[in-house]
Amino acid sequence: MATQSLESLAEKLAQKTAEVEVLRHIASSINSTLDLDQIYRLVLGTMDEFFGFRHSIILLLEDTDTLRIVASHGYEDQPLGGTVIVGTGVIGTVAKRRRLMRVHNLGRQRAYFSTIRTQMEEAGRTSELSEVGPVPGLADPESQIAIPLMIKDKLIGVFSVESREPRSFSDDQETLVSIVANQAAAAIQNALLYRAAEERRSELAEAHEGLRQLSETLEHRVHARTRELEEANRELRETQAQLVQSSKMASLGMLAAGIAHEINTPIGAIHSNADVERRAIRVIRDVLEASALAKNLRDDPRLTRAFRIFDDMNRVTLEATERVIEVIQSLKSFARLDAPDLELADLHEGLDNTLTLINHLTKDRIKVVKDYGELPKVQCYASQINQAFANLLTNAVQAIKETGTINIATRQDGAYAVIKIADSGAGIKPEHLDRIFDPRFTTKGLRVGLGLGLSITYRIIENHHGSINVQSEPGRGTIFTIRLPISRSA
Amino acid sequence: MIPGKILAFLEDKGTVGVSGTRDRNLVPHIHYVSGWSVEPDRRAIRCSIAEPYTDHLMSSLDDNGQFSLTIEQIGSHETYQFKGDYIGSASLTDSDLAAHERSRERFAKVVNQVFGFPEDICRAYILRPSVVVRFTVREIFLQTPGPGAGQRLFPPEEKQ
Amino acid sequence: MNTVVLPDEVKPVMQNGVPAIVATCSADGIPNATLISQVYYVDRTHIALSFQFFNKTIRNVRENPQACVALNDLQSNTKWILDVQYDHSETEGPIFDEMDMQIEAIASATGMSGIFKLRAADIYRVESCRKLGATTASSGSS
Repeated sequence: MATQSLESLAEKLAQKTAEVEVLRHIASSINSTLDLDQIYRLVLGTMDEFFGFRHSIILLLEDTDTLRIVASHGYEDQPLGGTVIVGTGVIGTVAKRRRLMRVHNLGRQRAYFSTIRTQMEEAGRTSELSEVGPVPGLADPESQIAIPLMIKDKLIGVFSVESREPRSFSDDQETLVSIVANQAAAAIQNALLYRAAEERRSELAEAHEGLRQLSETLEHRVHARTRELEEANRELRETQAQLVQSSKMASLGMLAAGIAHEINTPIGAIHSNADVERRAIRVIRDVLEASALAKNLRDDPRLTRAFRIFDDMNRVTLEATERVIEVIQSLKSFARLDAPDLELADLHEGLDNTLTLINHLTKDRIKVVKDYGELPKVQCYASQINQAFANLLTNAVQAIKETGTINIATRQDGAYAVIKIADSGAGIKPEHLDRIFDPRFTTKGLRVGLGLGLSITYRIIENHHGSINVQSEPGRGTIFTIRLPISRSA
Repeated sequence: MIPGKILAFLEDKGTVGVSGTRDRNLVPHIHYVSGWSVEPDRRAIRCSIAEPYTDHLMSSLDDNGQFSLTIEQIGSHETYQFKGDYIGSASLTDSDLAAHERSRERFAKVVNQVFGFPEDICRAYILRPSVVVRFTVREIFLQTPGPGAGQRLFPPEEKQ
Repeated sequence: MNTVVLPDEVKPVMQNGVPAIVATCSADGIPNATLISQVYYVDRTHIALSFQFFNKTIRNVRENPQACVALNDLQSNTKWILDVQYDHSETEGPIFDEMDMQIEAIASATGMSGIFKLRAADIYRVESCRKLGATTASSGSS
């Protein structure tokens, strides 16, 4: 008897030792990995292999009221992904109460409750009943142990083992399940945290890359936008300059018209008087020549000198007034105040009028050589074209420091009128050539209006659908070539 | 009189029966019933009880005559409790034995179906009776678990 | 007051899922015998019955605390007869929680969460315990 007791005790001790070893193995294995699937396999597989728990499930809490099956063992149709509502059935109640539950004779208990349900349905009390959804796991479990997976006070899931035997699970087995569940909870939590950290790291890396690309894109966009703004600014300044220039020209035109009107009358009077004076002197000379009494007077040297002085003065007066009249005409023609906007204009007339206006700049210093070809009238805004000529000729004059030559040549080239204005001035440095039509570019200092002339000229020619280009060499002069369509429909 | 529907239940459906008495100190006692039948007047019931379950039976009945019989159909849980007044004991008749056999067979079949126990073990669970108790049915209660449990069926409850 | 220690072998019988019988008696002497789905093992000297609906059994023990419980062990063809005395009711604590949890689990799985609600765990002290078999009869120790 004592021997039997000792044998029985020894057997129990051996069994407990084996169980402890298995538990130690489980703990060691699941804590040495951060791979969730591996943890699940270790837990469920070991529970079957060593303790005979053939059907087991691990569920994780997905949100406040749903548990989702993340691992299962021993089910024909794997219920992975299936859900249990917290508070429903054994598993849901364990999650809700956060307490272990061991139940037996589930089938009989369910049958008992189902009987009552049937009676209630037959009694018409279905409103008091709720719908029953499918429960994951065995279709006909008889025994079950379900235990909450807890990390401190926080529920992370439920571990459940089932059996078709009515009284499968003993107190010892309940203890085993509890121990394994506690270990599994910690390992699962660690693995979940690790996975979350990895996902976060990956997200951060992606976000960082996204930011880097965005930054590059922004930089490009900023540069592009800056260029756009600069271009728009340039256009605005050109337009502004043109507007100012047009406004100035309009004002000047009106001023010129006013001056011309004011000067015209007295100049006309002076010219007319000088002519009358010339004819009066001629009459006096004729009378003296015909009169025998004036024979002594005609040969008087004082009279002869006086007549000569009068002839000279009269001629200068007539020439001067004619010159003033010519300038006034040129000014009026240049401003084209009384001309329609778009017209058929004689470019030669425009060039000549312009030359007249700058005559004081070229006189005695610069030789102007004209080589006018056969040009039909050109459809254009004559005042603007004259402005362009004025800008180019003024530049040519300013380029010649001492003495030099300005050559103006015109010809027809098909549908285009070609005008070349060449000077023998200082020339333009090669590095400046690309920028001379830039409104901001000037080599003349910061005087208002300077630096805009060529850009305005460029804009005028562009508006006429023409072209202007420049050839230049320092020390050898500059040639501007304008091509204008003879007709706007060209 | 015992209503026809309940009569039919007793005859054809009831699978297990237990009875209760109480002694002079109001201590209740349980007596497993081996069989039952309704007497021709449909007012009294005979139920047979096996020897191991007769403790306190006669002494209690002789003391106060109060007897209750509960019959259930295993599976559907349809259950009725009959409360009444002891008429007297009787010797076992062939009819009583036949009633015992019928209920025992029903018990064995259904318990085998529902609980999975072998029929012969289930059959052995219902012992051959040794005594018959007769009582007049005073009240019949529905004991089927559910909405109507506890409702008195006979005599009918007054509607309020 | 008599109290006996329940033998170890009676605990699994309480958990075998076979309905038990409870007999009570009202204060005016009318016995009542009914089948119940489960008797709960509290400890070696106490059992518990669930109080869900205010039925005759519940009413009787509150008038007359004496009750008799019969447990069925089909496996070994035995019955256990327990004479018990209603002691008190618990509406919280480990016994109540365990009973409540179990009822809630099964009720929710069958769509009857609102129907079955444990009002209290009625605790009974065991005064005698005897085993009735086909051939033997033995009693528990005091």
